[in-house]
Amino acid sequence: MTSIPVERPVTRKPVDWWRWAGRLFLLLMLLFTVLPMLWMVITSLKTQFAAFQYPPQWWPAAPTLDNYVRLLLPTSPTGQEFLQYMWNSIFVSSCSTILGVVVAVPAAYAFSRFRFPGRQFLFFAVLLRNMFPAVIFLMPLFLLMRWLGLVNNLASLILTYLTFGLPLSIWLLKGFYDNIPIQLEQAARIDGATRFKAFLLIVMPLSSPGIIATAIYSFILAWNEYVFALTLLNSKEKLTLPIGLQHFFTEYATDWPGLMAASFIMSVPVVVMFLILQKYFVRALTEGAVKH
Amino acid sequence: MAPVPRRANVFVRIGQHWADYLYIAPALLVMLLVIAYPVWFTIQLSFEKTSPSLSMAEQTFTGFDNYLTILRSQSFRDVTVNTIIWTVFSTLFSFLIGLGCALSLNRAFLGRGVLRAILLVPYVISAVAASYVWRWLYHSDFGVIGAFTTQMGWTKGPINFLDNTTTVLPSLILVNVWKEFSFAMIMLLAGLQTVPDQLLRAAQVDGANTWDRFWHVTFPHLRGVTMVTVLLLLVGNLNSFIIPWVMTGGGPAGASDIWITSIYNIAFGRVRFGIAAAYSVILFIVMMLLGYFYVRALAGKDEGGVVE
Repeated sequence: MTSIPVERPVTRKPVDWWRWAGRLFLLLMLLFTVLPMLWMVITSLKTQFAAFQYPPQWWPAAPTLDNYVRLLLPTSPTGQEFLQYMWNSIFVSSCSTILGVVVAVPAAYAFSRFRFPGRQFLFFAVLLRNMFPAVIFLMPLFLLMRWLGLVNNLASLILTYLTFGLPLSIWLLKGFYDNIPIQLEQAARIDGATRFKAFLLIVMPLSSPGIIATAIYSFILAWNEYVFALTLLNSKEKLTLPIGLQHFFTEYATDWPGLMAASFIMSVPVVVMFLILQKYFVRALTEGAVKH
Repeated sequence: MAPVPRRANVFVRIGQHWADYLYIAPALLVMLLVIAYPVWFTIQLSFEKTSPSLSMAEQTFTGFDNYLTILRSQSFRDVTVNTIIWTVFSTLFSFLIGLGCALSLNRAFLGRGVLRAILLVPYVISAVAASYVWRWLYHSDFGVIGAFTTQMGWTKGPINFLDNTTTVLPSLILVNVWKEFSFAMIMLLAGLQTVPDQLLRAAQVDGANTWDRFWHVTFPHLRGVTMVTVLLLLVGNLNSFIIPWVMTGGGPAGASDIWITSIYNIAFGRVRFGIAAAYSVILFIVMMLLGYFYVRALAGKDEGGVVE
């Protein structure tokens, strides 16, 4: 038996130039994104002396974790300060997030489900808030806080962070509620639940992913907030992390490795939270802009 | 006599819906305190001459003086030009890069999810940290970018990015684009999910090439998302403060001063709240115009159910 060689037509797929262009573009963008962050990490592993060399050490000749130890060791003076900033940041971000979400949940639900007069107007007012720069709120809130005696008090930040946290939470949560089928509540109502009970027992559990995503998002915003903290805080032990970083600048030589280590530590919680909840985060960002 | 029933109708409806307002009451209260009151107060301040001690008793009503002072000043014109350059170029490049990434990422390949996550990291980290990192990259003596170009023989020595009036604004725009292009990417990527596959395949069968498919099928489907994304980028960039403030403070010689940094300087550097408030109101009006388009772009997407 001899097999007859079948002449297969040589079908060469044409090179898809667009696809290759896309890959090349993605590679360039990956480098653009990663290299600055990589240099931050590399610098943070250097001594002050090694960082100020020209040409630079592309990789630290003697990598050291000293900068991190100094920042995170409660017994060192820098560590004490830094941990205090971190605690302030955690405290302020958590309180304003919790407060914002607790207030936003019923409001978002009402905007999603009820048809009361003024609903459209109020909702767009909420939406428009996102367009105002923080500076518009800065002067009056500064005067208000001064009058209340809350300047240089972390409570002033918790309150002012609601200016962006609350509208954002309402907007995001409304999107999540819109996606929960209304028939579930209607069924509960037929079974005799009150409207509030249906909300509490049926909708709340279903919307917990949405609530978590919203909370994370508003936590990240509060964690990264700079303008209000810059204006409303002035004593050293009250500062939050973004403002505290300024203390690495001294008159003569900035401690760049220390600053890079501090920036890295400050970014880690945010990036970790983002990676864990990426799906929700992306959904929260695009919610409303895209019809699903 | 005729209009009376209509008016009563609103009150009747409010009366019928009184319980609905209980849900929004806490939010409304907070928003009145931290949003409505400040807006009203800013508008009021913009017509007053304030004293540096900020005591309310020393305020005097000056009508539109603050506005005229701003509009007549040369620095306002310079800052406005900077603001326009900053906003337009940041938005344009963020959008185009974001679109390129979204289109390239919109097919399955190994490591796609990881790549998307990495590209999003600059968007989530603190702008303050990002600004310091870039300040270090741009450092005029030990900056790694200058060192790299020197080593490659492209430049004779380190480059002065931030202390030079011509390079400072493009350098800051680059940082801004680095920070926010992935926002456009993620919005457009979500928009691409809504483009029907059948249409693209049908176009392919009909012999449309990649570019035609993008231009005639994909892009029209992205119109809504594009509108919202560009508006959000415009608004975000007009409002940006941290990157210019932390990296240059508006300098050198005001070359990177934009509206927000300028307002902040007037208010908390020179303590002239009246002028700064008038400045804010001007910005506020520009925002309202953009806001009008934003609401229009979003309107019609709001279809919830009703629980009675």
